[in-house]
Formats: sequence, structure tokens, C-alpha cells
Amino acid sequence: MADAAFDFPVTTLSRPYWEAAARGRLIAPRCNACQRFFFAPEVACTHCFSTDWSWVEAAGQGEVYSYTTIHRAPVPGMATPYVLAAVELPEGFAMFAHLVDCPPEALTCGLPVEVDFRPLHDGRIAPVFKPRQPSV
Amino acid sequence: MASARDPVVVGVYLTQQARTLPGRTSHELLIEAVKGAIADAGIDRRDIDGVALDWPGPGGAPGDSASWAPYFGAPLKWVDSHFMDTTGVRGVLKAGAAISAGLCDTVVIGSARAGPFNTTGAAVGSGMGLEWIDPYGASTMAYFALVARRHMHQFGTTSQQMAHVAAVIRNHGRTNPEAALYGGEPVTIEDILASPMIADPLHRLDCCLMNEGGAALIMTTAERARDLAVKGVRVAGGAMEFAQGNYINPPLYRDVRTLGQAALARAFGQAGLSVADVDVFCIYDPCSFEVLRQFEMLGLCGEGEGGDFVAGDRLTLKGDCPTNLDGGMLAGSWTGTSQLTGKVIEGVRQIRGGLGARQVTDAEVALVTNAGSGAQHLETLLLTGS
Ligand SMILES: [Zn+2]
Repeated sequence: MADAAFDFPVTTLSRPYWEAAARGRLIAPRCNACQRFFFAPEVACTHCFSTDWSWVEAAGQGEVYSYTTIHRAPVPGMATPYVLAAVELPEGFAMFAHLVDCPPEALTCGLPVEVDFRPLHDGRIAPVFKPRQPSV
Repeated sequence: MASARDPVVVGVYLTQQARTLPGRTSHELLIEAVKGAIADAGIDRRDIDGVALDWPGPGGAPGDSASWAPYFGAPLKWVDSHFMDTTGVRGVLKAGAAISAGLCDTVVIGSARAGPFNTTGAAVGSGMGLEWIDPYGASTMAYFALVARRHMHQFGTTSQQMAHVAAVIRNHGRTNPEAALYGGEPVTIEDILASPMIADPLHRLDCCLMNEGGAALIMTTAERARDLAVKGVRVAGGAMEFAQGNYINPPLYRDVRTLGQAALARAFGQAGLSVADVDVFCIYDPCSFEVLRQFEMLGLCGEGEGGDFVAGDRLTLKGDCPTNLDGGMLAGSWTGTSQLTGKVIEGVRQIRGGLGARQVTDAEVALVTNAGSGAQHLETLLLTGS
């Protein structure tokens, strides 16, 4: 993957994450010592300090903990407005993601969402979340 | 009563703060602030033996405080170079600890910025090109917005309540000749709510002013301070609290909540004071919401009750919690780091007295806070006159 194509660095720590996203998978670090997920990836588990952890696929179903519609971007070239959310996943971690395909009147804390994959402004494919379709 | 090596603030200086300062450079602005603080303290520059100053360059070694050594006449006894330690509450606490420990006697702290924060006109973000933040366009105000939105969701806090805080503090700036909004038209809640949205629920006028400017201050021992003509302001207590590193993960309200409360308890404990003793509140105000949250943190109201608490005249000179009477950052300056020192300077000046229209009568105790990144951290100081 051509790191130089992106505005922000991809590191040895994070490369698998972006490669998985490009293949339509959401993965996150899970500790092999305490079995807990943590995010963002760090060299050591943020729960127990173990450096023994693996990338594990997350189910991609979550809830919006909070959100903000951003009208002034900190990065040149980002189209506004966009919705930035703190998404909580039942695996036990929270992450930043863009919220897409959601009409403004439907935006609320607690909104059930599911993962999808879209290009960010610099072309990288990133996990995003969209309102979860009611199960049939 | 202060003991001989207790740290005392004896000199302060704020440069002009403005949207742009044409023809100025960060380095030359900082030199002005340092010279100004030295003059305010009435000391000789060769009295300084500890330095926590940014070094913007050109020249010297970028970011290395020891580059200042030639200007202070002798080998320095102590330096601190980190950009968050050369300013504000953190700078004062670390320099104060060095002074108390006997590592040095007289310290200068300061930073300044001239020229734009970035050259693209983009909103302020981490500034560090962080992988988990910047690709998502998580601006600094987005951090506070995520916390504010959840607070609204859980407690029914309203945009009007936040706008009231912004209006009150912005109007304070109208009476401070040093504030960027000095002499302007009165600002109403409606004006705040009518301003463009930056990061929902925060409007442009809910957010602080991005300016250029600098600030510096001088600290020394209580023993040396007694020999100076200026009234020394004692650092009676202070503490810090960090939830996580800046700009890593989203700030979740359930983690943030009243973050800073433990630090405050330590600071009040050191000073032998309680929040009821505070005469002047110098509250970090990057946005309206954070002020409201900090009153919950202070325990002056319950969690979730900040919106009601800050209503009416409470935060004005007429109220029981006079807050950011200089106009704070909402009517004053956010410059990157020197606004952190600006908070301390207003506290020092209120304790010294003589501020005219915005002076709190017989101010004895000032509470100063610094915070950031949706309040992932909080630093606090208690300044007293004796
Ligand atoms: Zn672990």
C-alpha cells in the first residue's frame, strides 16, 4: 500500500488496519493476555500492558455515543459538512468514524449503526458507520 | 504565611493580542514578553537562573530552552523545554516545584506566536498529523462538541445555556482594553446562536478567538519576592490531571464527566482553602460548554446542572462567581500555547488589584484552570495575596 498517497502516515502499527479496511473488514487489536479489545492500536494492551495481542475482526455493529456535524474542517480538501461520531462497539471499544447515509433529523446519541467502507478525502478506504437497518 | 522557598509570581507581561500582528515574528514577540515580565518584576535579567521558554527561532536550537542562557548572564541552573511546560499552569507548577526544591531561584516562563497557526485557513486540529484523528477531520472544537452533545443528550443542557456563557464572557472583553473585542458592540445570546455552526452544537461565537500574541511571567522564592517593589502573588496550591494523551481517541463524556475534580481537591488541600474561598475564577474557555462543565467539576453545582448554574449574572462582577472578567479566550486570545499563561496573568493581576472597571473588590484568592482536547486534561492553580 502506497503510504505516500495519504495525507497522514500509516505506521507499522496500523498498516494491517488500513489494509483490512481496503478489503471491507473492520479489525481491532485484542489482547492475548487479558482477551480484551482496545483501540486505537498501541504497542501494548491499554488494559494490562501486555505486548502480546492480535488483530481480530469486529462484528461492525455499534451505537453512536456522540456526534458532531463539522462545518469547518481542520484538513484542507475535506468537503464539509460531515458528521464525526464516537462509535461504541459491543466488543468493548470506541472509535472515531464518519457517520454516513443518515438524515440530520435521525442523528441522535444511541443510534444503532453498522460499519461500511468509504474513501476518505485522501483516498484511503476507512470504516464508516451508517444507520443499522432493522432486522427482518 | 509563605515559607522562604515557596514560589511567588512577581512579574507578568502580555503582548498585544490580535487576529494578525503584521511584521512581528514569534521569536521577537517572545523577547518582548520576556523583557516586559522582567521589567514588571523589577529584577535584573541576570537574576534569572531557570528558564521554561519556548525557542521559536530562527537561530539557536529549535525548542531548546537552554538557547536562552546567553541572555541571562550565567550558566542556567534549570530548564524545561517541552511546549506544554513553557506556559500556563503546567509551567508554573513545574517551575514552582524546581524553585521549592532549591534547583533554581528565579524562573521565566513564556511562549508566543506570530503568523498563522497554519497556512491553509483550515480549522485548528491536533497539528501533529495524527493517524487516528486527522484523516477523520476531528478538529479541536469537534472534541469539545462531542462532549457537549452528549451532555445535552443526558442532562438536557441547551444551546441557549451555552450561548449565555459565551455572551457573558465576550461582553466582559468589551471593557478590557487588552482584549481583542474591546469596545465592541454588546453580544446577545441571539447573536451567538445566529453565528455559523463550526462543530455542532458549537457556533462560531461559542468558540474562542484564534489570535497571535505572547505572554511571559517571572517566579521567584517568597524570600526574594519580599525584597521587590511589586506585590508578589503566591502559588498557594496547584495540581494536574490527565485522562489520556491529547488527540488519541474520541473523548467520551462518561470518561470526561467532572474530570479535574481530583486535581482541585489536591490543590485546595495544599492551600488550606475551599471553593467557597475563591474570589476570582479564571476558567479555561476554549468554548462556552467547557466553562459550564468546569462549574460542575468545581462542585458548585451537581453534574448536569451547569447550564442552570451559569445563568443570569452569576459569572459577572455582580455575581458570586466572577469569571473571565478580562474577556477570557472567547473575547481575547487562543494563540496555541500562550493563552495558558494568559489565564494565570489575569489571576495574578486580580490579586494585585487596580484593574479598574473589572477589578474584583479585595480579591484574595484566584482560581486558574487550563484544559484541553475536550478536557482530557485539567491543570489548576490557586493564587493568593499572602
Ligand atoms: Zn491486555
